[in-house]
Amino acid sequence: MLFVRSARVTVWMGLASLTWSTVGFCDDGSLSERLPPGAIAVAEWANANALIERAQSSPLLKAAYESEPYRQWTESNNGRKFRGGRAMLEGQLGLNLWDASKRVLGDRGIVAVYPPSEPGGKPEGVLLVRLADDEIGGHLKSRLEALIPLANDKIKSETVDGAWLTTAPDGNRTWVKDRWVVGGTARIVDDVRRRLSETVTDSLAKTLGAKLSGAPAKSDTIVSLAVDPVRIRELLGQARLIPAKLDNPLASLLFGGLTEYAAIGKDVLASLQIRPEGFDLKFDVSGDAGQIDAAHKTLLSTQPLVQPELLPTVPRRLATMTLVRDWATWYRQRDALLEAKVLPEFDKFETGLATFLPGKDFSQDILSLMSGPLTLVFAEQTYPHLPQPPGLQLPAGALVVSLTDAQRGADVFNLFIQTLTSLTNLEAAKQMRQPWLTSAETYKGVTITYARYLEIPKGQALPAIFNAQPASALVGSQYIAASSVELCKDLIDALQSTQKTATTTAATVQRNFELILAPENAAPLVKSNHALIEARGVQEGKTAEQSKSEREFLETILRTQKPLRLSTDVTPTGLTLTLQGGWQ
Amino acid sequence: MITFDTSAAAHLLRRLQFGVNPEEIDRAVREGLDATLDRLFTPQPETAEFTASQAALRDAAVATASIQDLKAWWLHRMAGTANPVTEKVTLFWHNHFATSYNKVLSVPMMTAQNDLFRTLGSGSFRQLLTTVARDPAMLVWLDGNANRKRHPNENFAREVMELFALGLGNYTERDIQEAARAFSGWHLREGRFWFNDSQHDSSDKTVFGKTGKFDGQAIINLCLDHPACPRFLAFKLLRTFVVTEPSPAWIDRVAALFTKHDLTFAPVLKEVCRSPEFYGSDVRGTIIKSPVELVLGTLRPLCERIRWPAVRDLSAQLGQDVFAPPSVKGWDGGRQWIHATAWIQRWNFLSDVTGSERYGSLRSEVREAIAQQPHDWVTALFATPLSDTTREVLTKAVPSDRLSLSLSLPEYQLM
Repeated sequence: MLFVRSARVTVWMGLASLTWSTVGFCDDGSLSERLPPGAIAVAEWANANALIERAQSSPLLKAAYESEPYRQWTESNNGRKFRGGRAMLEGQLGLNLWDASKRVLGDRGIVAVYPPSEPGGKPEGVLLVRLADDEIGGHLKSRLEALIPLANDKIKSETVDGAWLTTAPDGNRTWVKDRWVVGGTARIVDDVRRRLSETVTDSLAKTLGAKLSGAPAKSDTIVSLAVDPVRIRELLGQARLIPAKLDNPLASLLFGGLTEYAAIGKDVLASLQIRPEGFDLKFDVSGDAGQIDAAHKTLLSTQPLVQPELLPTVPRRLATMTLVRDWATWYRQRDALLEAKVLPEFDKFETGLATFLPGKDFSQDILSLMSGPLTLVFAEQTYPHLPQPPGLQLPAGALVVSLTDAQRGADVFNLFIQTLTSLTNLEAAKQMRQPWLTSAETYKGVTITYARYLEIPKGQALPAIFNAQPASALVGSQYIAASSVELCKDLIDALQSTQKTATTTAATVQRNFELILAPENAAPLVKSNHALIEARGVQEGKTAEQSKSEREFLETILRTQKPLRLSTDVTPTGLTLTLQGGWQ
Repeated sequence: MITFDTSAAAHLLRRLQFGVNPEEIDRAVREGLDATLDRLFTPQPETAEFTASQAALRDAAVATASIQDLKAWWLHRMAGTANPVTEKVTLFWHNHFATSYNKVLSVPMMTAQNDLFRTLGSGSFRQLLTTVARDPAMLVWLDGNANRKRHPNENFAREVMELFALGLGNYTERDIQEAARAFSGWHLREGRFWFNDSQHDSSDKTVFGKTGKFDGQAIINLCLDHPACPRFLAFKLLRTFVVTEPSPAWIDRVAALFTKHDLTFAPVLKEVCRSPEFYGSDVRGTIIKSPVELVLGTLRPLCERIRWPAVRDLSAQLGQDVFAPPSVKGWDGGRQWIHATAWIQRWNFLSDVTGSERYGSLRSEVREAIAQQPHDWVTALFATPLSDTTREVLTKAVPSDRLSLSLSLPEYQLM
């Protein structure tokens, strides 16, 4: 039974890529020219060959193949099944899967979704693939044709006008001729067949397809997507596809503006471009900013970007996240942004906050002090303030906020930190930890207020609490609260650099959100904490050697990654979300 | 005369380590009783894998200051060491000088105390008690810093007599009050023992009918020289390693051994294990396995890839949360281990051993061996002979079910 089922799958995979004629067809335009108009969503890829070859030769993949976890997986039941299935498939195809993928999918392809042809019906779809070479179709046909009877005559196979046409019991069909493979619902497949052999005036390329990205460079792969949300809303009879109120406060804060634009937008476009050194994924949502309500507008505030990032990098950076919001208004308008069930949590938060800032209202007295960007920064530490690093090495973290009234804001935030330090000292006394003493020093003209330890134990791995040495500083109107003096100083350097740049450079875009992750900088942290990470493996029953091997693999993966950047920019007519990454 | 056959060897090993397997029994029988005892009481080299694993777990516990990680480290150590007697003795002293992290709140202190039991536990009780009295974890646990000249705190003085050295009935309340004054000023400073001269009461004290300007060490010496001390230690040793309710005569004989060896622990335990009484039918299978003995004694011989956090949590749920004994008296043990909830949890655990990988993976060779050669494993698993009916049921059972059936028997709860 297993063999029969596998064979059926193989037949369908083969049919989807089969060609048996030598007549060539060459066209470098978008494949949307070959599809009928009226699609509600379309995605096209081009030059996938470059991506497959890059994946095949990737040092990351090589490291994964050589890793202990992969070795263990290949010896597991699932691993054995995978290897067996792959060997069987490759045997039937007479090709390894890498080559088959390159030759079948490596050139161009397009997928489109159309509204139901009848009211109440299911959406229809079509897949059009242009094979990478003239021989692959014939090769696959010769290997797979004999397997069709294994489908128990449920697949109807026939030759029509020199093309191989197969029809499944549900009416879906596959048509293969020359270097073309078309699959999908019968009505649209037949329409595409006609368009491949005739010249027609109307096509998807003149409607939704016109919004797809153009052909990429030879070494790049591109996947682009266009969606018609207006038509989808019409078809569904709904004014919006995404609710105005979310049930997750963090998701609302981070992406509430994006989802609101997507809910009411006119177009949703996406493109993924993969280059030799990295990739760019971009989502564009266009819409009328005038239709956005006041509550959601608080999530669409922006800061002019005058350099590559809102906040210049600090040494050993692990992550930076900047949110530009109208904080006080956002908090006051939360009833319009969030579902009622999560709102009581805000009341609990305010009650808890009263311990640290008695007599203050969170919205009126604290958030109103903040304007524009709020940045979180995480970086590896070198522990210049300690004789030896703690046994568990944690990243330092910092918060940078822009203040409307610098001195007033700094006073309130310092009060918060002082109260927190005092409470922590009380707890430290109970647990016989070293208390903090408040001290101050001047760095590049900026006063840093920080907590230092009364005494530091010698001759042993320091407890994890020694990762923290709270510090704060005010640079212009930017307030820094950091978990270490070292990061506080690095941020002073960064902010002073920003201020110099801002006076000489014009803004390029209006940035609303920015997240930067630097995995390669996490590799030293993994190495520093190797004993702890390996111990977790031992605790789960692995040998010390296995745990070490897995930790080394993790380090290798991290070292091959370049920074990952996620950002959103806002314009009067829409919002763009961009994800960029790179690899060694 | 001792017949050191497979049954006797299994009994010895069950009492001196955590669980036993047929290979260990065969080896002991081959070597003979004396050579086996010499091996068990002589430090053996640890494997490289164990050394590396336990170092990683210990470093992690210290680095995170997590008592949960420290518990996992010790349980892993108990099961994996080539010196199981040392760990059994360490666990014995942990229960004797029961100190809980829940009050000490310091992983380094609990680690240091555990090392102290491991290093000194098999040696002189004089040195052990003297060192424990100055141990930082103990000073926190029994409020050393609260014992001041004008406000003596009796906690340590009471426990040193009642629980550590003499036992109830061998001292008076007056002795405790006087001894407390002697320990005044035994404080903790910067995480270390510190004799606070200004808070020490240096006036005369009368303890056990003797009068002098006693300090804490003098009181410890008086306790160690008290005739009740060897008897108290003998009772504790017999109750833990031999029989739940030892006879007075046997206690006296073992107390004499303690006197003979000047309160040194290992030689006494070794002589007890060499005595014919130790192998009597009234001794075998009379101790209810503690949670640690049940869990480690099951997993060590039967399983691999043991998941230590799950084992740690299970041991705590069953009533033996290492590094967190319930009170200064430690775990009562015996029948207290078995109550309605614990019995169900014990059964669930044993069911999980054969039916899931929650706590570790059952060794395939064990499952196969038990299916093919059940007799060898019956000797290893059970401290008492099984009835003919039970044996017949096990023999007739589907081979793959024999292990789970065996572990579910009430007899398996005994050692």
